[in-house]
Formats: sequence, structure tokens, C-alpha cells
Amino acid sequence: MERRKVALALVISLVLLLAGSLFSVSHAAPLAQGETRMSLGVAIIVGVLYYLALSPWFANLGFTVLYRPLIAGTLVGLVMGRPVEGMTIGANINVLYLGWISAGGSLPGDPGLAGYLGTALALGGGLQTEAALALAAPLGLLGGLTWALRMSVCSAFAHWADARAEKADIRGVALMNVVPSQIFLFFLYAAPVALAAYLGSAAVANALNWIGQNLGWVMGGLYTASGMLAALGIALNLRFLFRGVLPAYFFIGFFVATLAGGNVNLLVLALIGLCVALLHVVFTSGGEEVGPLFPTGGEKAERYKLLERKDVFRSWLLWLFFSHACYNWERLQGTGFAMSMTPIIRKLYKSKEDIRAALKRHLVFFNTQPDIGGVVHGITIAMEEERALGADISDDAINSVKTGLMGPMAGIGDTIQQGIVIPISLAIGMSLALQGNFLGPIIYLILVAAFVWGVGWWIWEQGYLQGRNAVTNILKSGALNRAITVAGVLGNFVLGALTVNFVKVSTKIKFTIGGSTFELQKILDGLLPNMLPLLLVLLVWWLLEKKKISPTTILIGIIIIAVLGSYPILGKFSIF
Amino acid sequence: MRIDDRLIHGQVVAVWVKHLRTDRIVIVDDGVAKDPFMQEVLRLAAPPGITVDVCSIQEGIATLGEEAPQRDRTMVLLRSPQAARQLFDGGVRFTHLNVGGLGAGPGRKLVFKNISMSDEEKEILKSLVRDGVRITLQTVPGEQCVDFSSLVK
Repeated sequence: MERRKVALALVISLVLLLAGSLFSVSHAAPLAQGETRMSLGVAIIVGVLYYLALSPWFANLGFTVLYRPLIAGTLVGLVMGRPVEGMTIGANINVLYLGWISAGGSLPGDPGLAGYLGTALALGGGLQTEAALALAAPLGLLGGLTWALRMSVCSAFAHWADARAEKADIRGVALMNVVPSQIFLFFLYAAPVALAAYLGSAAVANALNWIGQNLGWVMGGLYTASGMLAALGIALNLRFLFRGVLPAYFFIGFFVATLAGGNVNLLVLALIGLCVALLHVVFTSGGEEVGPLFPTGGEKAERYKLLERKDVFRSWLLWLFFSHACYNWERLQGTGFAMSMTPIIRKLYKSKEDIRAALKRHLVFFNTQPDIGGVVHGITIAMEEERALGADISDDAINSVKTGLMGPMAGIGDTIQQGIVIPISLAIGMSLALQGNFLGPIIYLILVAAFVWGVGWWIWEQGYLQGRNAVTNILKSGALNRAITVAGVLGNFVLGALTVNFVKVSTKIKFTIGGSTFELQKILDGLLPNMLPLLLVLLVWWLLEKKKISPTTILIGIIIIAVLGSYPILGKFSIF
Repeated sequence: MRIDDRLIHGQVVAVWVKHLRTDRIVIVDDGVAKDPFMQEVLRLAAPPGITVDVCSIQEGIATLGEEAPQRDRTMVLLRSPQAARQLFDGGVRFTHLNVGGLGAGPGRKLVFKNISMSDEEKEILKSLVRDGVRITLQTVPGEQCVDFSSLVK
């Protein structure tokens, strides 16, 4: 059953590859109209980049950094020789995915696909930067197709790891987590994207050419749709941020950015937001003290007896890189967990029986958030060490700690990493990118790396040093809740400012009273600049939150409304 | 009412609680009810503003049974189909049961996405369907949602 699936998947990839190359050879003659700027070589690089973004080779910076459209756009732009345009397109696409959260192995939409393929098609097809989002947004919806295939096929590789464990083959278990899945994923991800980028560019170029000549207003519609789709991205985030009095900070952010005159450097605004957030916490905390994260004193178990610091560090490194290498429906991160334990097992256990038992113990279902959840691994390592020293710790005890803690830690980890660190860092990076500043993607990379690497290792080692107490200490100290509150205020503030930067809606409605013509937009600007973007964001938020309309429906609705609204139905002028 | 052997985790905290506007989570599990450490962890891990109650299956029957018609803002988390059956037999007449996650293991077969079941568990869920409970398999809102009865014949 599983072998069949693997074989089927490989055959599909190969057929796609062959069919694609044959097709491109037979259509090699350059298209007469609409010059495309996409060579086969560049298309292949784009496909490989998409694979790399989902690969484990970048110490967990693949999914958290390379996979984001801001970075994707910049890289594709670099490859295609137009970095500034690529970066701007990436930033524009990324607004839609600000509130994007993938929790527990479910992947709604695909920012990476929208980023890599969307930018490649927009640049290759000669689409205006500002209109690229309307093209990329539907592409992102397609990503779910390969995801389901990946999640079921990789389940088979987990069974290959089981077989290695049966032979007490430590190295084999580690390799099974990485090698088969990465060969498979390379073809699954790179081939279709490379093909789509190559063939799609010509198609997009021709389509745009035709539309430009025959239906000029549709181009305007795509442009409008892109500006409006940004409102969906912001509103998706607001769903998580509008709590209690916090929406007030959204409006403060909006007004400050409006006063500053639109396209401003968000780094400065974010610093203002941070000060406001700290004041908010001071004024609302009622003077309670924040407990230390890790109280000194009390009894502490002695660590680093059989293990050395470098073993624990090596274990963390393996996790950092390969936690999701063989992510699948059946075990989720199970094989990744087992791989991260290999240095520990090698050091602690010498007999074949012990090794086999330990490998099998850690190959079971496991899933947590990779950074904050690392505390669970730390605790597990400590338990394994105590067990090897002769303490009476059953398989069951280790298992129940793992399964008991992985859920709660994932809940907190997702809230912090995907809900706070990534969106706020992105917002800053994107606004810099929009001004053509290459520090945008770089600052994003630095902020996320600091969190993923710094906090990741720190929490991992604390788990090892303190055992189960690490969890209660982290949770009990008020520091965590304060950090979340600060982030809530800052997030609202930043999104208010982003509304000004990224959401673009204006109306061309005019009317004549008593001989003089009034332009509605001018009247609105006189009242409150950026009023329509603000209203649109709030409207989308209301539809999502109160009417429970799905983001996909809203996405399609916005594109249709924007394009239709651009049709010059009202005589000489259109709505948008 | 949700069966998820991971109890509180990312999907529950980041997505479900907001989607359903939950203000209270009741965890019915004999193991956790005996483990003060896990209770503390689960309480602390819940998002602010949400109360977490932990009780054994017997206590669950007593408290949840009285609350009928169920308060819609309460999410009940169970670890296994067996627990659901016991609650139902004890008089907690729930009408809808969501299965959100059941890990794989020896003797368990993959049913749907991240949900694996043993034959025994399948039979239990089938018996609940016969008793009029609507059982759906869905990891998070917005994802594909399938009816258990359409999946297992």
C-alpha cells in the first residue's frame, strides 16, 4: 500500500518532468508577441528555491524565513536580475500571509508557492509590481494539493525508519528521517514549480498582452484587486489581535502613519509602538511583580554526568535542522524526534537491546512547536540520562511526559512564534522593502534567526537542566503573559500602520451639482486620508469574525468585485 | 466535544478556541485527573481568559450531565473514543463529536490525515453514530471536514 504510493508519486513526478521537457522543446520557438523574460535555467532555479524553502537544510530558517513571500520575491528578483521589483512584489504578496498560521500539520494556503511562482510569473510575464498579488493569491490556494501527497507519502518512510530501529541501527534511523523524504520532496516541489514558472510566464505574458489590447480596464481591475487583497491579510491577523481594549492601538497606529504621510519607515513606527506597549503593560499590571523565569535555589538535579554539553547541543542541532524533514500524517515529527535523540542514545546505551528499545521508544507520534517545544526534548534527554544511570524510569513515564507536554508547549509556541515574532518582524521587513530598501528582508532574517536559534537553544538546555520544573517555571512567571500583552499592543499598532502602507483603495466616482464637479475621493481625503483602506480592513475583519465567511471566499470575492468595479459602467468613469 | 489525544495544543489554542469563541475548556481524563503536575501545565498553557477544568470520567458524567442543554462556549476535550462512550453511557447526551487527532501506534490504522484508530475504537465510534451522535473528523476549521459514517462502512 505505502510502497505503491511512493512509486506512484515518483512516477507522477517523472512523467511531469518528461512531459514538461518535451512540451517545452516542441514549443521552443519564441513567442512572437509579448516578450518573456524567463529562460528554462531560471525557471529551474525558481523550482529549486521553492524546494529549498521547504527543505531542512537551513537550520529551521527554511520554513520561517525562505518560505515567506518577502524573501521569496527578493530571491526570485535576484535570480531574474531585477531584485528591487522582486522584493516589492514579494512584500506585496506577503501582506496576504501576515496572519498565516500553520498549526499541527495543517497548511491552509501556501505562501511559498504564491511567493516563488507568483513573483516569477509576474516578472516573467511583465506584470506591474502592484498588480502581482491578484495573480499570486489564487496560486497560493493550489499549494494544498502537493501538501496532502507529501504528508501521506512520507508516512511510508517512517516505516523504513522502524525497520532500521529493529536492527538497532542508530545511523540508519537518522538517515531514514532525511534521505528518502528529501529525494522525493525535491521532485515533488521543484519539478512542477519550475515547469509552471517556465510555461506560465509565456502564458501570462500573452494573456496580459491580449487583455491590454482588448480589455484595458481589466488591468486596472487587477491593480485594484491587489491593493484591496492586502486588507484581507491584515484582517486575518486582526482576528487574533482584537481583544479587549487593544483595538484602540490599531487606530493609534493607523492615525500616526496617516499623519506621517503614508509610506513611512515602519521600523521607527514599530519603536514608537513598542514604547506605547511597554507603557500599556506598566499601567495595566497593577504593580504586580514579574517572577523570575528560572528561580535560583531549590533543589536542582545534577546534570551533565554521562552526557556532555556537546551531546545535548548536537541533539539540538539535529532537531533544529531536521525536525520536519520527514513530516507526515502518521507520526508528524516522530522520526525527527528520534533523529534528534541519536547522539544521546549513542552515548548512553551500549547494548543492542537498549539501543533498539530507545530508538523505538522515540519513533512514535510526536508533534510540537519546534522552538518553544524544545523544552520537551530537554526534559526527555534528562530522563534518558537518569534512566541510563540506573533510575527506575519506565518507557511509559518518558512517553507520558512527551505526549503530555508536547501539546501545551505547541499551543504557547505557535502563539509566540507564528502569532507574534514572525508577523511583527515581517511587517517591519515588508515596509522597508516597499521603499526599495534591501535591509527589509535582511532585518527580517536577523530577527527570526535570533528567536529561532537563541530562544530555541536556551529553552532546550533549560529543559535538560531543570527537568519538568522548567515547564512550570516558564509558565508561572508572569514574564510570558507580559510578553504576549506587549506583542498584542505592538501588533495592533503595526497593523494600523500597515493599513496605510499596503491597502490601496480609492474611488473615481464623480458627480456634478449645479455645474461644478465633485470628486468623491477628494472629499473623502479632505475628511480623513486613507479612510477607504481603513473601512475595507474593518469590513473584512467583520465578515471573517462575525459572519464566519471563509478567507478563500473573501479572496475570490475581492478579485471579482475589484475587476467588475473597474469596468467603466458609470459612463465615463468607474467605481475604482 | 472533541477527541484529541494531545488535549490542549497549537490547533486548539491558536485556532479552535478563537473560532468557537470558547471561554471554558473541560478536560475529562482519568490520567490527568490523577496528575497534579499535568493539571498545572494544562491550566497554565491555556490562553488568557479561558478557564480550564480537569475531571475524571466519573466527575465528568456528574458535572456535564447536569449542564444539559450544553453551554455552547464550553469545549470538552477527551483523549479517546472510549472516554466518549463512557460519558455517553453515563448520561451526557452530546449530539456532535469532533475527532481532531489520534496518534498512530502499533495496531492502529490511519483513517484520515493525522487520525489513526484501532479496530476497537472504530467500533466504539460506530456505536455512537448508531446512538444518534454526529461524528466529524476535522483538524482545524477551514480544513476539510468529513463525516465519520461516510468514511467507515
